[in-house]
Amino acid sequence: MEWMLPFHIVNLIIGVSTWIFFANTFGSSSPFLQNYGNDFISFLILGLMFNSLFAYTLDGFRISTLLFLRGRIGSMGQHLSMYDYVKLCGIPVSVPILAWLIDGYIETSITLLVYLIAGIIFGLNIGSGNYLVALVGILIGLFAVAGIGLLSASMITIAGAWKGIEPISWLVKLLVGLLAGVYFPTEALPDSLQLISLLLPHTYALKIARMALLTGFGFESLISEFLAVSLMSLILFPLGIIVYRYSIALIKIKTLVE
Amino acid sequence: MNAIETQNLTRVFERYNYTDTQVSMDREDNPGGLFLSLYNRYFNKNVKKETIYAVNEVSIKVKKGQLVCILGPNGCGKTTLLRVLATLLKPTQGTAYIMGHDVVKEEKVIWRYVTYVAGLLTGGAWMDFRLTPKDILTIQARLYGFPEERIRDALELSRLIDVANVRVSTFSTGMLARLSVAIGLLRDSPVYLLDEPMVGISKDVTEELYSYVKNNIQKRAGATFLYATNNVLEAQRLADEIIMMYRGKVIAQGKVDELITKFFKEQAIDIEISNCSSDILKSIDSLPKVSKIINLTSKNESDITLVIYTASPREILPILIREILEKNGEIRYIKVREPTLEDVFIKVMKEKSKEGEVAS
Repeated sequence: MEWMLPFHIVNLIIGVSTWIFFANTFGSSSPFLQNYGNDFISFLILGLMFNSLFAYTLDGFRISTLLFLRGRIGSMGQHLSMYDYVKLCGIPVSVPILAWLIDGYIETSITLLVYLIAGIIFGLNIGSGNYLVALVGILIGLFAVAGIGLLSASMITIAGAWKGIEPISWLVKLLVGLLAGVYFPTEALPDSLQLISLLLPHTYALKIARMALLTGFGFESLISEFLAVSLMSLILFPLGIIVYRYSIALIKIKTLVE
Repeated sequence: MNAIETQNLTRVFERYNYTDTQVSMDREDNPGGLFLSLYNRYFNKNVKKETIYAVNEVSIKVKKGQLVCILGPNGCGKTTLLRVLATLLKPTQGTAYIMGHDVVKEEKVIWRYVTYVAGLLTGGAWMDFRLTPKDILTIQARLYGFPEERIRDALELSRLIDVANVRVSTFSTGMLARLSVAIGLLRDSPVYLLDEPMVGISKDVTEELYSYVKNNIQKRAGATFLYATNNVLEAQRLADEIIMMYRGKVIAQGKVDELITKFFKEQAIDIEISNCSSDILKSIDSLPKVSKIINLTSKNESDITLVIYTASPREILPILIREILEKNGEIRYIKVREPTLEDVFIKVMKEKSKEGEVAS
């Protein structure tokens, strides 16, 4: 990680700069930005920031589980699988998986920080925002996305999804990029696509965070978004946990290598 | 209470036989790999699902302090049985207990009672080769919650005390194997599950390790061993009791002597004859009280080696010698010996493989 970090930061700065110049060229005059303080640069930077957090939450469980299941311990041709090693040491399976997950979140936090610094340099304006509402909205959204992430990770043992793409995560990422309002307001989409965007927890969480931070909206003004994203979290997160626990129990039952 | 006990333990695996199908296409880096894999499993008629009984209704009992060898050819279910007992696999059916604890229901406590070693050389898996034996044992002691004072004892017993602060990367194979033993000593488990531990280790080192296992771990600490091997000599040398497995089933169980007496009432006469005519062979074939003759040489050779199994070697030998000499044969070597565990192993495996052929 220590060697990858400088390159990662340079890539991020170049990426953010590209979007900011894009925003400077085309942004702020759109009627769709009225709800977001007519500030496209801030709109975009917040979208990029929170989306990187959601993207890792979606993939983190799957990546950590894959690292655990494929991991080997030892050297010079003498190995134990990570699973055997952990079990034989009496370490709960959750420990290495959570360790990798936390490692990924540390890396994602650095990304967020770079976005924030670049944003402040280029004019991110969240000084009058309602931070608490934004934080709660993002946290509830993260639980919902984590639920999808857990379902996606479960597919490794349930369906054998270490081969090729994992369909749940792939589909959600595909839809989020276009429909969840990461790069532009969902109001710019045709009605039919806006309906599909309502199925994604990202849509609500991003809307809550942006409206709270850019125009200072409170809980009362965003009640419908909060209700929708909370409902999704209440369904997806427990469901994800149940299915994921089952998928981990399958390691001892199924033959993992065909 | 037995240290290890299983009742009707069964473990089934499913595998896919990719007849006439490009199995490489559903590899990991193919974006459509998962879909192709699912298609192959559920819709492709060229892919056949097979059910394998790796362990089939195995019931065994191992008393505390015993060293029991599981003997069987490759693929007979030895490793699967040990992995179930080590809680690395869930049994499909049946029950298994380690020191009275159910391996399924009390999975979380089993690791405290069991040290599972998949080959002593695999002990390298417990080691970081950049560290020294002392570092590695310290990590193990902390991981398992054992007092660090025990590290010195383990190093002394495994004769690694002089190299305690030398990096493991410079160690020979024998030293690595001894370090694996040191890790075992440190853990002081009541039950050791050893899966072909001596594979890849030279004879001189294995001899040393056998006595470590017998004298330092089994006798001193009173530990129980389930020792999987396909090496008959190793089993005969070490085991208090033998469990023979074939295609997932236990086909014989008992002490070495008991097994030999059970399967062989006869003794073996090894004999080498020069200038052996067909008349001599006919005479030998017509000898009384001979249960089986195995010719170890190819046909049409005049110098032959035979193994004659008989319950009455004292009656047979004078007749045999007289017949050979009268017909101008020459006896180059003759020896009467007790059957060994190897004879039992070969006999039982041949019988079982014939039964399998008939059944299929």
